[in-house]
Amino acid sequence: MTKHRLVAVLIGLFLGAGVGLFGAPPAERTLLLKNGHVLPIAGESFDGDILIVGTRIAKLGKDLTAGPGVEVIDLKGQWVMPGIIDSHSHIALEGGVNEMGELITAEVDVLDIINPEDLNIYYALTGGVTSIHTMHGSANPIGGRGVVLKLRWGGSAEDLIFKGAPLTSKWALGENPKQSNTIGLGKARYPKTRMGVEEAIRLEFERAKDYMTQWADYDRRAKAARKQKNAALPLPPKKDYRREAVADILRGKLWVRCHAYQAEEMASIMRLCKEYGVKLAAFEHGLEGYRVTNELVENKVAVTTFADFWAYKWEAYNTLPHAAALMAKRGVLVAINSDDAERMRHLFLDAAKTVRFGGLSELEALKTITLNPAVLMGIDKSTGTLEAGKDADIAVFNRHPLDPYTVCQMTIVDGKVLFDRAKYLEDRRKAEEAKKKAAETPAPKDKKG
Amino acid sequence: MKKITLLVFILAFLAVLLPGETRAAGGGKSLLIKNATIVPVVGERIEAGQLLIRDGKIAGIGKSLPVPEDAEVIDAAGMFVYPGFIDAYSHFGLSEIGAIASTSDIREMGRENPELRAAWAINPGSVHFGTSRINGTTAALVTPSGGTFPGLSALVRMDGWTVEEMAVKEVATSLINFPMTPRPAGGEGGGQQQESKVDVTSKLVEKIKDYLREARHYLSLKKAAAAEPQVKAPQANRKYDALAPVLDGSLPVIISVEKDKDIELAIKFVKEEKLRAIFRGCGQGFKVADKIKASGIPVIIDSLYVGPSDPEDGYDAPFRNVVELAKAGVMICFSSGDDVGTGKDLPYHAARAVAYGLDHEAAIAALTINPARIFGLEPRLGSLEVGKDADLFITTGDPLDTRSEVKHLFIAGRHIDMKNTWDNLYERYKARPIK
Amino acid sequence: MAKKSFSAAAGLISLTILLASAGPLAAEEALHRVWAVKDCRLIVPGKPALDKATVVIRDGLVEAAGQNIAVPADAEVIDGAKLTLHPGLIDALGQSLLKLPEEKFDPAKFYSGEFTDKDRGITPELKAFDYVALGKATLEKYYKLGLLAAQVIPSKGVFTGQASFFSLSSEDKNKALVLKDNWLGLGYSPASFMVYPNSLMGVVALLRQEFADASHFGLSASRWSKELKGLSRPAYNSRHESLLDYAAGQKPVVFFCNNQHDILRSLDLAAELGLDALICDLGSEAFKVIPELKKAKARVLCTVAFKAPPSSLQSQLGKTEKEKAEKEVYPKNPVRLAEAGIPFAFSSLGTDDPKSFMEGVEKAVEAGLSRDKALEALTVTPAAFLGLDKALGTIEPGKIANLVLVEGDALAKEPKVKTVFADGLKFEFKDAKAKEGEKPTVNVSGRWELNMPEAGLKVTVDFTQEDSGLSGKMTTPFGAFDFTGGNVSGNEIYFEMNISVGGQDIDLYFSGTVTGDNMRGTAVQGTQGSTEFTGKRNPS
Repeated sequence: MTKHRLVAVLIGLFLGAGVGLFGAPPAERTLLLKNGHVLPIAGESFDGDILIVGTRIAKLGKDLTAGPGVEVIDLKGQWVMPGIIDSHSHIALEGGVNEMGELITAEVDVLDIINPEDLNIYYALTGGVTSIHTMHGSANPIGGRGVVLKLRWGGSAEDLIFKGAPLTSKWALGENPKQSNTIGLGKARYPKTRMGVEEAIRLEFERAKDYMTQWADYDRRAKAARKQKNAALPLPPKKDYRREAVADILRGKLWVRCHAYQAEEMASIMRLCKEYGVKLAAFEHGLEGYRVTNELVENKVAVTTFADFWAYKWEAYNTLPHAAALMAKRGVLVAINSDDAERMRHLFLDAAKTVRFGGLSELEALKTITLNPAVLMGIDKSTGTLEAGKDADIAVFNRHPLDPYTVCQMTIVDGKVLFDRAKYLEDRRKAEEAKKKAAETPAPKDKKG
Repeated sequence: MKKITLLVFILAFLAVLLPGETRAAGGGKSLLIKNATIVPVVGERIEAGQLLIRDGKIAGIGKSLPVPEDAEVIDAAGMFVYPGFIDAYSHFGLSEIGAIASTSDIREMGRENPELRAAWAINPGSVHFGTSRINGTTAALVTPSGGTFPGLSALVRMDGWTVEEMAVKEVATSLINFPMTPRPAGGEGGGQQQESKVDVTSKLVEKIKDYLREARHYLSLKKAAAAEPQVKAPQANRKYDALAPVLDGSLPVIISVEKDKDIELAIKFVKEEKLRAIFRGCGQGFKVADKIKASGIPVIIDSLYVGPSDPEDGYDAPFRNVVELAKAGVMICFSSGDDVGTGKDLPYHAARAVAYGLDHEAAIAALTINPARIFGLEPRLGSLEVGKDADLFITTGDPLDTRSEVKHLFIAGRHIDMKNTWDNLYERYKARPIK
Repeated sequence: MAKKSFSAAAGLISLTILLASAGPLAAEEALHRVWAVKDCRLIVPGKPALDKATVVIRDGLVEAAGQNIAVPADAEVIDGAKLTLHPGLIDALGQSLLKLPEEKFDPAKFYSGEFTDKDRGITPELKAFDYVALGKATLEKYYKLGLLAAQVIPSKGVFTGQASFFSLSSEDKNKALVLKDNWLGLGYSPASFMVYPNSLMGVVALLRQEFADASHFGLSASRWSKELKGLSRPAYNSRHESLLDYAAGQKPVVFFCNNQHDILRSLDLAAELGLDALICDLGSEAFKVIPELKKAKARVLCTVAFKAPPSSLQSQLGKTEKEKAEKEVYPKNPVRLAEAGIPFAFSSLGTDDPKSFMEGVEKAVEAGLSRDKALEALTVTPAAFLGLDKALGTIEPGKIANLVLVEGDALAKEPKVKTVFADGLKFEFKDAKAKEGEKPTVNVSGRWELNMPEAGLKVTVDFTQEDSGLSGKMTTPFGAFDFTGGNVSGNEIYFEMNISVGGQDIDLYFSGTVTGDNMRGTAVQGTQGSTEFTGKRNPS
């Protein structure tokens, strides 16, 4: 008799879901959600239904019907919004989030270390989160590559990858690459100033350009040599994975996500990226971004930030909880992220803070955790709003998502219910009853004797 | 005589007329709040009520109060008046920026520091007082941290020129960190709690008991030496001296403990050592709620931005924990926890508990009258009653709601300027021209 | 589809050794060259056993095996009635026979930043052959369990080193050697210092870059030596040279996989880099990725410690779930692979000594693996993985005479081994006093290296044990600290101390189990939690 039914269910959901679920063709599966207060984010909110066919939203409207054999869930007036998207996280990875051995580590890749068994994925689902961008930490001016995952809990590492989402390169400026807060631990390392941090990036760019030139030159000579008979082929240059990765940034294959706090480093890096034609998708944290909104708008750089986490280090001091709203109101694309597995479970609480601090409208507040992160992650064509044709990534709450007493009740990913609070409570109740019963009855003799 | 009295009267009058800071409203002058919904916490709400502040105290509550003519009046139509919230565990004033050691005075070196007083080190000018009181926190327990005996906490108001002025109780409680009380894994890679072959927790508890035993021995020798000349007094030991009120039960001691087995051990420990204890944390308290209730020990709930102590407890364990402790009759109060930067979230933690089933009234009580009782300050704080200190606030809505705004805050009857560093930045950068 | 796993050189060496062992024997050995085991039950892996069989051994090789075999006139006869003869068991991959030099832990490195390739875990030139120790007592331990051959490999770091395969017939490793430097070990171990690679993703990036660099070196060097003009010659790099055959897929590599994700990573990397790869399943999670293993036609080395990897869901869910999985789920790994038809051989990595290894195999049998399949995974399959199916794995004419004569079943729980033949040399067990009467009390006096991987800490400990009392000193990057208490009871050890670092006082309590020269257990820090540790005694 399993004493831990709850946990067994969790594992069952995980293992069972993995087998057959994301493997089998989902096109036939149909699900009708009825009677919700729907907040599509795109378009007006309404009271009504959502029809899901396969992994996509087929239709939104009032009084929808579906044929026989369709699963129907009556939401009983609960609130429905697009699945929450966390644009800055480090979950679902194993073996360390930072490669600290060298200054520039563009060649490392979180795609190589995805751990689909991370329990934090499940916990994120309990908070209504359906997609995340998970990535390298902030130890290096140019760190490794990041990836967008859809939280298909139960799937393999391959299953989690959000197909078609742009891959990213994680940069970091300021105190972390300067190692300002770990003085005395280990050998001192360049750079120790923000000037050095930017120079490290520029130097790497120039090296990558040289590398690209080397290879272009080789390609040209090899081509020519092949045309000639009996000509000796030139020796190819060494393949350098680090230079390749930086070259990919210059070629626009990777979107840059740059961790930065202070206004001057943000302004300077925007100029750098403009100079090199690099796609700087967003600043991470950007707690002083409210000081350079004109520049952010001009350069079309988004900011993905905290609601009000501050004062943990100097560069996070000169900021305010109104920062997100202030930037948004001045035209910056703002997303609210977690950067933390625990905070990921209550991003909706953080979004609510932008209403109070800075006066965002409820719609704008909800955008910071749905459409806006989708845009800066390059996945807004597929998700981030509730619209026909988009992925059925949906979060259901018992009260308005920005209500202080709201609790996430259900999370749907690609049309499949991956978290159901009612079921969780029922399973927990059964498990605790079983445990109580087992404690009361005398233990049977061990079979092995 | 008459001349002097007249002069005094004129001077007093002038003092009142001269422009002063908005902090005035003390000494002599009264302030009336009218048309508000008054929530006294003890007793029924008063709709369209009035509350009179004078000389730093609540001078009157009712529907229609006799009010002096020169009283300042705040028309709080559509708003609510609550007693000021008491944050039951924080480090306000002891830390400015976490990563910068020179700004932090929370943790002293060493395991045993029962004599160190937070009150000696609290910086009244800390930015975090100003930013943490904006949602209605008027007083907070400020504690040192670290080691087994971190020191002595102070119960201070969230405003004042010096600690002396701010302190409601300069020495409010002592503290003990019980073994194996790591916070549950909030972030990624939170370590697996391995269980050792040897029962290390009991060994560590024994060490704590040994220390207390030594302290008792020292104190009784001291006492004996004072009574009889032939008994040699022991060499002065400030640490043991500081434990005297803890050991005789006159000073409560906050014991931080997390897991169910450790809570049971702690209850036993408290009984054996005859301490007046307050528990803090108790993430798995719901598993032994009846035992905690039976022990009579109140519980300070730590920040609820946290995961379950054990994945087996269920993802919502931290919130369920609060609800079940309250249901079992345990006296609970809320705290904003270790991060000085998020002090303003005190009511939001309470809101999480309400979301998962705690009564709204119980939540408000846990922010006001409960901590007042637990820290022995019920006569002065924790509710709106005539004669109590005027620590209160006026808010636009439910104080646990993120969307509500505290418009007025009073501490010891002083009308507090709510403008803080955030507001300054907001004003300044809002004004930058948009290109 | 194993590619040819020999380079010309290795093939030549092994051939020479085989011939040598069949050549002129030493004077003592010359007297006992021919044996016949009569009327025994002959085990043929994968086929039914033969009763009343006779096996003839001559000059280290099997001369004849089967029923109705004539016993040669010059043979010494052993009555095999009521006894079972099976092929010597093979430990497909292990490190118990390795005695690596004492790793002097230098805390000064922490501050100087002077790191070596070894600190990074890049040691492809570390050869097991140079450090293998085949003492008499060691060999007896193996014989007692029927283990007569073992592949030995260093397994620490990223490029862990090169394996060698031995037939355990002699204390002289030159005589025992069968294959030298035949496999390269690759591990997913980030460095513990702040040196590249100190993250898992850094390790993966390093694997790619290092193989690319080695290939480029090989290409440049061979082209220069061929063409001699028009090209700059590359600087010599012995590290890259040692990787050439592996990079070219001409010699196999073995990936040390801690969990199922590492297995998938390895299969992907092998395909990407053109490596001939085997999978060493340290985490016993191969059963979770059977479709991918099948698709890649993977060869798996199954370990038998059956501990749930920390990354697994079961481990994250808490102690109860973890222990349940370690009892009920993980030991089923081998039988699941057998059912799916994935070829696997047993590896002793993860267990500290041959006895625990065979106990682990027994666990797999109890979890459902048939004894026949278990025997295959200890005989024919490892022989095939090593490319030695012509020489080992079964008892057939021409093959190496590694045979085990037991009373009762082959691979019983505690095998009653009577006699073994290793390279045709006989070793007989005199009837020893039944079991080990008293519980062994271990003596840990001396210097040990302890490792706490989760805390990223390696320390040196000097123990002084007197009866059950234990005192000592721990040397860490932050200084040396004396124990404040300790004791030993049975094979369990306990000690405690207080460490002062950066103004913080940290109390540590260690408790663990000692097995031979290894220990493992838990270190508890008063109020912050705990971590696992392992320890190895320094060779004296």
